[in-house]
Amino acid sequence: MAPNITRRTALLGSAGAILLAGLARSFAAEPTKLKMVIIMESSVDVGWCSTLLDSLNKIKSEIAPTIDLSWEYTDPLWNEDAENAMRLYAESGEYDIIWGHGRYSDQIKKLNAEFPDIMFVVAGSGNVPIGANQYWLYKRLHEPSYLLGMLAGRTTKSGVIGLVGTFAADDVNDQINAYLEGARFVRPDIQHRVSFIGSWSDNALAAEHANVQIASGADVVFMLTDNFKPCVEHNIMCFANISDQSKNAPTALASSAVINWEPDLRWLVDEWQKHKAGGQFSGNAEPKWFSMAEGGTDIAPYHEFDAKLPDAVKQEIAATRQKILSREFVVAVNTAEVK
Amino acid sequence: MVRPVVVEELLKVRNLTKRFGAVAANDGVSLDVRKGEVHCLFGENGAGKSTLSACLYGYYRADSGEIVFKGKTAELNSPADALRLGIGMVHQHFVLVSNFTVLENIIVGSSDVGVFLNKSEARRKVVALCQECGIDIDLDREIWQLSVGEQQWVEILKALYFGAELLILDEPTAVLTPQQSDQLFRIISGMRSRGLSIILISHKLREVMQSDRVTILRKGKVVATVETAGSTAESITALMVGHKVTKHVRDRSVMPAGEFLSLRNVCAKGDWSEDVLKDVSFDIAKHEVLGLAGVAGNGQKELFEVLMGVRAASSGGFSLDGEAIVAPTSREMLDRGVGFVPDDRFLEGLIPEFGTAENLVLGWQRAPEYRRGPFLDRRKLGLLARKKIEEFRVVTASADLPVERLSGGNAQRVILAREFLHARGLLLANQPTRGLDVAASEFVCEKILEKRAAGFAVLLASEELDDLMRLCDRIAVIFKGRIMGIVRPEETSLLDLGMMMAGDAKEPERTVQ
Amino acid sequence: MISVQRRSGSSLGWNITCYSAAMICAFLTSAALLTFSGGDPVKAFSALLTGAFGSQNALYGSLAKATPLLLVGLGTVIAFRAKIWNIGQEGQVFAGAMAAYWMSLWVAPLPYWLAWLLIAIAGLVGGGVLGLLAGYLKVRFGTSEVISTVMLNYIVIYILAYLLDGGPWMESGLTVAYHQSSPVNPLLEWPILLGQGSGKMHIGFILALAAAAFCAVLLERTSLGYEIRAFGSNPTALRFRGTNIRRLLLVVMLLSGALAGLAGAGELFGTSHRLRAETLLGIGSSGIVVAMVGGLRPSGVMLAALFFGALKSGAIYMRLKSGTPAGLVSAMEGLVLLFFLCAAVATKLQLVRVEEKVHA
Repeated sequence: MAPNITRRTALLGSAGAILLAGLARSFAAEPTKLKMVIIMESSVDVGWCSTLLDSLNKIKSEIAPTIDLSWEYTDPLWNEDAENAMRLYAESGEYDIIWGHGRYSDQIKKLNAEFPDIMFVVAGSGNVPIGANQYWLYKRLHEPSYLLGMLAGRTTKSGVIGLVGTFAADDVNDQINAYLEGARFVRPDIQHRVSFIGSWSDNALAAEHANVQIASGADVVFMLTDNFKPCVEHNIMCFANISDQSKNAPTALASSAVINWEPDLRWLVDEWQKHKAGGQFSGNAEPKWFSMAEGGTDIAPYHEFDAKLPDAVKQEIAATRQKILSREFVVAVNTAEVK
Repeated sequence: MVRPVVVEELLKVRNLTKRFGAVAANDGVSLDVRKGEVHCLFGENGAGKSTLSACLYGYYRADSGEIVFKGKTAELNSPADALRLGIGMVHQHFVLVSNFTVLENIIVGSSDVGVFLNKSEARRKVVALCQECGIDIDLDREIWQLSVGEQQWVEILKALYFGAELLILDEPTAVLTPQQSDQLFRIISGMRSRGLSIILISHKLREVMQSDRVTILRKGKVVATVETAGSTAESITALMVGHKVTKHVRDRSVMPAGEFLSLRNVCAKGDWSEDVLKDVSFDIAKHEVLGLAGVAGNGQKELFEVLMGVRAASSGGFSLDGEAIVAPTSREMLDRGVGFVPDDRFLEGLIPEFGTAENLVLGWQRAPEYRRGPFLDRRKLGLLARKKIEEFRVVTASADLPVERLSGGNAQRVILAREFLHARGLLLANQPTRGLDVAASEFVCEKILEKRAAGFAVLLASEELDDLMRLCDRIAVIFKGRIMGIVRPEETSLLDLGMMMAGDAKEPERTVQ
Repeated sequence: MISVQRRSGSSLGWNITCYSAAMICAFLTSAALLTFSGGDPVKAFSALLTGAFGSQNALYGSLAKATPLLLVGLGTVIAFRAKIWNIGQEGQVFAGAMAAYWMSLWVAPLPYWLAWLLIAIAGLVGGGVLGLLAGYLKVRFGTSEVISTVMLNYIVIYILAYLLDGGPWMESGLTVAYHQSSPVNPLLEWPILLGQGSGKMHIGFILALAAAAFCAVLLERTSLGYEIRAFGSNPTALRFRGTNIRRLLLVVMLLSGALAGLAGAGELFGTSHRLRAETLLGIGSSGIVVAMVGGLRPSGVMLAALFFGALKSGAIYMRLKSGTPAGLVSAMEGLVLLFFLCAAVATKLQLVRVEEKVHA
């Protein structure tokens, strides 16, 4: 983006910029540079990571008037490697935010005090609160899961719905409970098959579990890992998680529970600017998550299934979604393990 | 005889030299082998016989010199080259796959095998070979089930099957009984009359004398090639060692006295639970050498193993110096002062990758006399090795050269040095002179008699009946795990012994205790 | 004409030549791979060197990475010299870390040095017992140690998975990530001797050096070492000569496993401070590679461990600074192994000038 255009946009958007700190300076000067490096937990074609890059691209132009956001990201790195990489980036002094996109608070704990002017970010379960300059993002997908549960309850013929989970973790259980609750709401006699593969990414094992669930009667399955072969092979309706994966199995995927990082990014940029303006970092002790109403999550479009799904069902779900967005209806966060 | 006999030379070796480091194992060796000839290579251990045959078989490349086979210069880069030309070899150590059958071992690697084994065709060919050579062997038994003698037949059959015209036999009778040796020589003469040439490496004069010509090697050089018909055993021996050899005989003025080792009804099972020893009983006194005569594979090995505590007796037992030995281990037997010379020296007696020094204390590596604190005393081992290398005339580049690189005879000297050093009272020797040249085996005999004079009880198993006759106070004959009788050499003929070894126990009155 | 023959002795000069050639070949092939995959070898290798040796901290980091490799390599040497094919280092590292972790749950009230000692011993015992188990299966039932050690790897890894995934060692906390324990008690962490930040060399390195000296002396100077080497050359003769080879086999497996176990304990308490499968995975197999590259000699293993430690330590730098794909780093390790194994064969051969034969 050429600087003169940026300046012009900044002038035009000055009314909106009132909300932002450091208005006087940004009005006249170049937008503040914000450089970020992301330590990825898995490869960038996995939803958890690809959604972050999508959100970054969206947010970049949105905040362009005041913030010149740029970012780099790594191959998957864990453990010591991740710690060494973070240290390398911290020592270089080039980065304002070091973002560990997964379980990285162990590593950050060893670094954050040494680099008090750098904002550290971690995302998801398995992290620990450190406070100070560590910010902890969290994703709760219970609301879209509830909607998918309704869809499952309305479309199942056998009355049996499945869900292939990863671990019985806090941020997995909330989804499962909401999914089942949504299904039960539209069909109280619903039966479920839920199992955990004990891995975040073992797609082959996930397929085995899905096959078992299908064999035992499930005709709608929510796959929390990315393998939809069993759905295609058995011509079963499935849902995907984290990102819209319709293109991977257009004939089987009716929708997905998706996450967006825009609210998270807005919040962090805000926090960072406060620090830049002379404030202290005050990293959250409780994991911070943004609801569907706040734009943190949603369900993906139906794509091919738009024509297949009954209008009544679509309308019912759209109405419920609206109620959630308007906070008229609240999906409870229930993290108890489903047996 | 009107026409002159055309002497056709199958193999010509000219000025062949092969060095290992600074040592010339073969130094300008020249040799002719005629078609249909049994040509003997004769020499002491380390004279270069094995190296020469290894060069002829393509296992080593000569540093210089020329090998001409069937009129053409032979480029022998590997045994495969030699086999293609028609040179076969039977090694001292057999190279057979132990869980393959006889037939499979013979045909494996043969060029006409292809992807699928055509066993029936091969079987016909092998059966025919067996009949021609008078070899009686079950082609479907697996190698581990065979005696050493039978395994050698497999090696010979294998070479013949491959179409060998020149067959190199490296000390073939070292592992055979007299009867088997005779049978082998019948086979050899059969092959000779079929026009095959044979290079025979041997230490045994009796066998050398059955060849057509003898090439005598000493220290890597050819001393002479002589026609056997015009020579005597004495003249050939003298050529080999450069001087005359005295044969030692036991001193009859020293009388055995006081029982030392006493076996009563010892029975034992073999590796496959077959009965290998049946009610073996005998005594050996101090100052006594008891010979154990028998065809290989009749229980000698197992008898020694029971006495060494590495094989359990299924019933019966033995006592040593009046003390009953119950469930012995090899450790206990060594600690009781038993010395043991096994027949398979590289398998049971030596650590091939260790040098002479370390092998000299094998079994005694934890003995305080070789240790300094928790460590092996290397300096002491070095000194010991130097002393023993000299005393036992071991030919080795250094005390640390792995013994796997020593010739069979030299390896045996290392074992003997160790056992004669550590034994106190009982010496068990299974085929101690096997594979040794005349001088070396005489050296062993002399050492055994020294131990007898020093009051040892000695159990000596040997296929050299001549040696047994002059060394032993009594000779026990074993056949199929049973002692057929115990005789005094002065009252027994070689023929009698041979009969008993074949299972004839008709002379109980000659059994002595 | 030049011909290749077996060498009768070994010569230091020739050994150095062979291994240097192997290094150069591995380097050139890696450079070719880098170029082929669109990287810049000069940039990559300079990043590698900087990451491994560029600063004091980098150097200490390399030593820290070398520590578990050295310990596992030494354990491998002890077993392989006896030609006992213990390839269960992976599981033995896990078992050592698990035993040490278990011990750490009890010893916190004790004086630090005693607690430290007990944890180290627990690591040794954990790995050793697993090794011993494979040894026992071989002695008692004749089970091939290759099979049993590999199977035990799986069993141990699954036991750890159970312990961490809903089992008693599962991390308790606000939100839970599975497959890891709570951090070890910070009071029980192993002391950092040198360096700071990413380059922290903990006391395990000194233990590993001591273990290398111990193994060298054990193998070459003691009666037990004599028996271990003899067992590798000819167990039958050893049995005939009064050594209880069953007991020896058990001792070898115990020692071999114990060293791997100590590596696991050191990684847990010196580096990762949290029991988690991923942090331990691959140490065992890399240790076997180190042992092979080191020619199954403690001194060689020490050099190989330092080399591979530096490679691992520099690799992350290379990835970040020059964008080299992670796969290439593993490929480079593989190339080094391959060329070193070739070099090991080459050291046993010699080139000889053969006179042209005069044809008649």
